[in-house]
Amino acid sequence: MVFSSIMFLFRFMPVAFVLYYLTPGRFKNAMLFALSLVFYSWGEVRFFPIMLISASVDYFVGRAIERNRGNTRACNGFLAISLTFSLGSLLFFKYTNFFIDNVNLLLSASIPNIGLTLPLGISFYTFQTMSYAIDVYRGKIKAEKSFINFATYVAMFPQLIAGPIVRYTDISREMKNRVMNPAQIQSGVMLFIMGLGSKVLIANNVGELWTQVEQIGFADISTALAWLGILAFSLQIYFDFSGYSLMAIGLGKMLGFHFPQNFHYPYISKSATEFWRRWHMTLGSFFREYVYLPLGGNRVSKPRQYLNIFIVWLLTGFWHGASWNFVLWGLYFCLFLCIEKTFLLKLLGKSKILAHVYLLFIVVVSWALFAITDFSQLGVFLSIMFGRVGGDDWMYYLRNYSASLILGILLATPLLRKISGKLKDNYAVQSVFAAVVLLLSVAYLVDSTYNPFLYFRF
Amino acid sequence: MESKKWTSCIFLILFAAFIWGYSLADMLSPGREYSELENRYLAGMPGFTFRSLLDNTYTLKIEEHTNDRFMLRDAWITVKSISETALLKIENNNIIYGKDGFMFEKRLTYDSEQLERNLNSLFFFAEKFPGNNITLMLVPTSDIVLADKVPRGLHNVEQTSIIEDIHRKAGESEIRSVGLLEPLCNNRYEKIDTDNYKTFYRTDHHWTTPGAYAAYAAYVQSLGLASAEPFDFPLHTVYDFYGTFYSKAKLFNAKPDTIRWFDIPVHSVTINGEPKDGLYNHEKWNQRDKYAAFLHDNNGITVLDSTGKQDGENKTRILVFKDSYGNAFAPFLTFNFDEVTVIDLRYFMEVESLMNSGDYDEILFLYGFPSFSNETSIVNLRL
Repeated sequence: MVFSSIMFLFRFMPVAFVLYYLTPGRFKNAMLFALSLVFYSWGEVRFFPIMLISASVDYFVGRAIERNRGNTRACNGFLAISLTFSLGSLLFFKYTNFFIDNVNLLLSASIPNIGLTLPLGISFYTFQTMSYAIDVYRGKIKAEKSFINFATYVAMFPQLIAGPIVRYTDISREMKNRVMNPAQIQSGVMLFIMGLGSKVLIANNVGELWTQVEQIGFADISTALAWLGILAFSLQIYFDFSGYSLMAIGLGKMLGFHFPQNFHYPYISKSATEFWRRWHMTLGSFFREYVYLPLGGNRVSKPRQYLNIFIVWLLTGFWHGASWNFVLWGLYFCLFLCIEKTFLLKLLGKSKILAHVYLLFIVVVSWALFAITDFSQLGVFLSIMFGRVGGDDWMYYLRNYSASLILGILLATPLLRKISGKLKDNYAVQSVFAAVVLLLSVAYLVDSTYNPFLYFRF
Repeated sequence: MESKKWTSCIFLILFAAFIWGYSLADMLSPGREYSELENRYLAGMPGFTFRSLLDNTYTLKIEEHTNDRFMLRDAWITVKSISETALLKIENNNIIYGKDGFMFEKRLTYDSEQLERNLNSLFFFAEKFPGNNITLMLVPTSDIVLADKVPRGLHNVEQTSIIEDIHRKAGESEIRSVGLLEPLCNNRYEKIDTDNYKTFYRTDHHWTTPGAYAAYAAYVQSLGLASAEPFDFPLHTVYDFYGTFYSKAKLFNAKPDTIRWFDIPVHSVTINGEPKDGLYNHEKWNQRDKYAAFLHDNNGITVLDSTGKQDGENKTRILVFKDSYGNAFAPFLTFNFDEVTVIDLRYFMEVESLMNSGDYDEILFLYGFPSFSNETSIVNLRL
């Protein structure tokens, strides 16, 4: 089930929240766990055991590490079990066919692919359970004694499918003792509605443009339409993903949890370095915490520092999908981050406008690498983007999508927040605005002709 | 203090009341099975099987059901349509809003393989039953004919060249073809009333009665026959026709169409062996799907007897294979032929016995470009 559906809004949500609020305090986690299993099974009934096994392994590993604190070798062993299991299941489900395809290509063999579908949310929950085991190993947190509490953390429906990647340290306190008051629930509802609007009213609206560019075929579009299309995709992926995160954060607040922020106006950044501090922040901090810093971060020699950056971005790219274009996309950012680190950052500091233009340019181009999985198609698209192919096809699409695109561009900046901050009767205006967004979103969901969810395949 | 607390959460209270109240009302409301607005049956509750549960189609169908039967669905659709108009959108659900209220279907690609299969089925038929006079007429879609109404920059499938190519191939197999683009573009009745005498409807994919007439005239003239002047016959008008394009786009301020039909005298109409009362199903004029009145909608075999001549009296006969475009077209043929046999291959599979049971002076294949390039029933010619 996705949050942006009539099923979620008018079936699951009302029932789930009644049950959750009515359940007495000490059973709330168990209720949340049960609701989350229903939520997960609704979309993918076959794979919920895998999630449960994944949660169990790390629960027991956490306990075992805690009990054998003094014994370093045993702790190392237990951590190894956890990492092997988490990474193993991720590699198996997500990357097996990719490896088979590449072996076939290299050796001109013909090993058949295995018939696997990606279990929903596996890229997200394996990262969460892994972070827990490592944090216990490092002694940063105490192992969770209650299996229900731990399983609830892993399975919790708001963040299960597409993040934000919540670490146990973020919510361990709230797992045992959390406040729920009308003001907080209300602010959760508002966030949820803003997320819903981002997804349904903006992402879906502009996303259709990119889908149509794909349908026409990259070979048959003009340079102007290529840019219009990739601009639309840039807005779609931002509002789709940040909208989903916002819905998750809002639902979390309604349940009494504070999830970490995942997006912070990434498109107003002035460098790639800054962009990645504002885009998918929980993924960035995961890689920083569990890969970059353990490798020595920037406290090692210059060449090692660049190697560390390279490793992090290779993994970041690969995490996004089992396809070479995602690796290329990661390394593309690695290149710009390294250039910025050596000299460009200082130069960009001199002109704000130039820095914005530079950042938007490289990010928009990066989405082409991200969106087009097939390399020959990518080549065609880039050659049209940077060529001079005429035609009037862009006129139709500009006319049909201009208002949506402008709205998307404006809302990608903190403009709305600034306006709302300046208002006198903030609450009344916010309420009316949220009500309109909610009603419009429902209307668009009822007549949804296009409602994909980009991050489902991750 | 107390009241201040209450008002600070008024949004939350309204939100909870809306979600819970609406959900409850929606679950209790009976829901309908058919949508007039969308001209389709709404998704029902799926039957449960373990197989459908395991491959996730069961839950997907429940979601579809919930969406389709959502309380006040039409009102929500209208809200979206108004919002889309405010966003200056000129497209919804693959339907494009052109000038003067004309809608068009977006058709960026077509199935060239299916088209090839259909053409080969036609050639197979021509070889299997040699010695017949066969004509092929493909109807281009409205966006080709009314190109000046299409928003600039929209490039639908280039049908003109594809149709020309098909004509060339047909010629190699001794099949005549009549191009319809020119007659449909130079519609002489448009002068009567520009808006309502176009060759295509605004809100429907079919051609209008003047459109069908233009094609008829081009066809019979190509056979060396004189085309009748049906405008001498009583002309009837049916207002407020919202067609298939409207059903998909659901544009809240769409301009409805006007349907014209001629009272053409015929001796008898027989559909699938049963006698019918005239060329039109007059009940349909009052319903949503008004085009279905023509020739009583799509049926396997329809025989129009124009004169009541007996078999011995030098009877002229024509056989028409058609999709729904043929329904508005076939009545005109009764002016030139004593007997018009109309076949819809979607509902008729006995081509061989039909061909063995009678001789036809002319055989016509009349298809819209969309169905000729997508329809899978044309292979029934091989049966």
